[in-house]
Amino acid sequence: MSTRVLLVDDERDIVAPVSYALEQEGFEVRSAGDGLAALDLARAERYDVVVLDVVLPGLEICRVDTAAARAWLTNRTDRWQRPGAG
Amino acid sequence: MRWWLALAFAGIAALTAIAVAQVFGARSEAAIRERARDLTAGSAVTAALEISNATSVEEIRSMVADLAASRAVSLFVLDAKGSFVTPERSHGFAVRALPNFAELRSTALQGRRTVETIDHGRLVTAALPLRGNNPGALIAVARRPDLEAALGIVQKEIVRAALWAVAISAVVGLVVALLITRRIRRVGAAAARIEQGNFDHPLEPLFPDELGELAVTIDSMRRRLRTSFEELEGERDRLERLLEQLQEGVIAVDRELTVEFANSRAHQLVGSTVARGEQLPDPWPLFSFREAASSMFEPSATAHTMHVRPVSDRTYAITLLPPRAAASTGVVVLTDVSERERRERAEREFVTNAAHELRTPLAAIASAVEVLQGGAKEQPADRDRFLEVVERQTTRLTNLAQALLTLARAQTRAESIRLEPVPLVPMLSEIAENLGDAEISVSVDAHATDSVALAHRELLRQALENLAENALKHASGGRLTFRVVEEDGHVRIDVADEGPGIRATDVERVFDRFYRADGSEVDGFGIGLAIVREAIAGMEGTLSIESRPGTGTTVSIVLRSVTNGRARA
Repeated sequence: MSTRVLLVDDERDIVAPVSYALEQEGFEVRSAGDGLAALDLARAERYDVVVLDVVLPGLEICRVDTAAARAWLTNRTDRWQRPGAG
Repeated sequence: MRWWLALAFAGIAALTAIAVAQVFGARSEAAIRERARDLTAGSAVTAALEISNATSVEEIRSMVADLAASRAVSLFVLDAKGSFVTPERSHGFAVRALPNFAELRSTALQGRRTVETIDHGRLVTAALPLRGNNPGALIAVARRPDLEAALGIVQKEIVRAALWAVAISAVVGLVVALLITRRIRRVGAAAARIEQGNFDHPLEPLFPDELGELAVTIDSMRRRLRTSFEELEGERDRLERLLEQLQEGVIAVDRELTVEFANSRAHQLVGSTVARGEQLPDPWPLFSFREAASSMFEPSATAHTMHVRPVSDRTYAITLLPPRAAASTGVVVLTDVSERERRERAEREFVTNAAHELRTPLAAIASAVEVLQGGAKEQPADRDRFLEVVERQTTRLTNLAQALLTLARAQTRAESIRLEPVPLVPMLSEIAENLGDAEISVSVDAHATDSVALAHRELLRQALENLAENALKHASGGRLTFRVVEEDGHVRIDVADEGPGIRATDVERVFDRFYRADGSEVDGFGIGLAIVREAIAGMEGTLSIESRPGTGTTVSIVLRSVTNGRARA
């Protein structure tokens, strides 16, 4: 069973290539355009990895997140550029 | 002063008179005595000559009596044996009362002459030998009351003269003193005028003496002081005019916090009257201005600046300049740095937002290029899809770069934002179309179908796109409405979503981010809104936001309308 990834970003031109790349690497990718949709998906199914934009309409991660989570998830890091390696 | 001088003159005159009286009295007494001796001796010699020629005792006696009467002298004649030929009393004087009678008699009988003064000069006695027909001795005694009288008169005259001298010298002294004191007073009055700061009365010297020289010196001092004061006043005037021109409030206070100077900008900044000669006010509840000012006068105080927020939306820089060692005046300089801080925050926020806006399309392009290179280019459908992403995001970047450049130039005034008539409805329709799958409607009120705003086409498009994108994020795919309303020479463009809305507290914050532009809270709602704000401000428009939870959020842009007659009709 492949690793399941939930990709959350409000910029569809970022979601498209990133989910494509992740799928090419063999991940099973679901994507959401805002925080509420992401929450619905996360409740419905189980995911191994969540790639989350820190600033999302409907869900402001930064308000409840810790600094460590921020470092991992924020779009200020370069990690999203190599999602396959994650 | 003049009385003292008069008294001194009188005293000197009195001393002089006494000294003169002493010398003169002694001399006149001596002269009078000498004269008395000569007279007595003369009477005696005359009597002796006549007695020498007398032929009888009777003749001698009558002769002596006549002489004694005519010359007011007592005459006594003795024969060669020393017995009295004449009576022992003559002219009321008994010869035996003379203390030196025996001596006189023997001297004369021995043939010698003698003239003596006895009884403190009151009696002159003369004795001389008689020769010729009647040898013997003659004694003449002159009592001299007239001598005493003469001496008394002399002394009285001396006293009177002395009194006159004292009186005259006192008057002369008074006059001299009056003259001197009048001149000194004149100089003193001039000095007093100078002391009171009145430098306009010249002092002419009356005579070229020491007082005249003093007057000349004081007058030149007056002229130099006047020049110095005029220079100082001019200096102060220039300084005050300069201080009035300053953007900073300047207040000078003394140790008791009494205001010595305050320019009008200080009144404005402090918000209450800062009057010269009155106590420094303490106008702010959150910050004690007086306490800050009084800290200047502590011994260890040095010049320093503090930033305070005495009222909620203003920041002041308060610079305290303690008095120099000898002076007692400290200076407070107030600067309103609210605008500067706001501008700095806005600039920081703008840079952050601009970077953020650039980052998203760049990230999309980089991702698309990466997947293309990773194999997507081999499959036509995927290749086209990601090339479209690249194209779309490149266009977005180009527009954004153009907008930023225009804004930056406008901000540095290198190039003013050129406003032109922009028809709104076609532009809004185009934006709605470009935003793709979202359900977007453009509604226009009846009078605004041909609305033309005075705007910069690219900046307005950028602002509206940013607002629409932002609204769509919040609307969660719901409806977005552009509404154009004409109102009184202006045109309002509403960008209204039907999203969850923003909580009242957050509306404040969003509004905050629009206007207060706190750089640290830029993320979230505010992305791109700083650019919107800058763009609208650059087009001399206004921006406002209104939101109710559950109903949606409306952002309004108001621009000047280019009134179109046809549209109105």
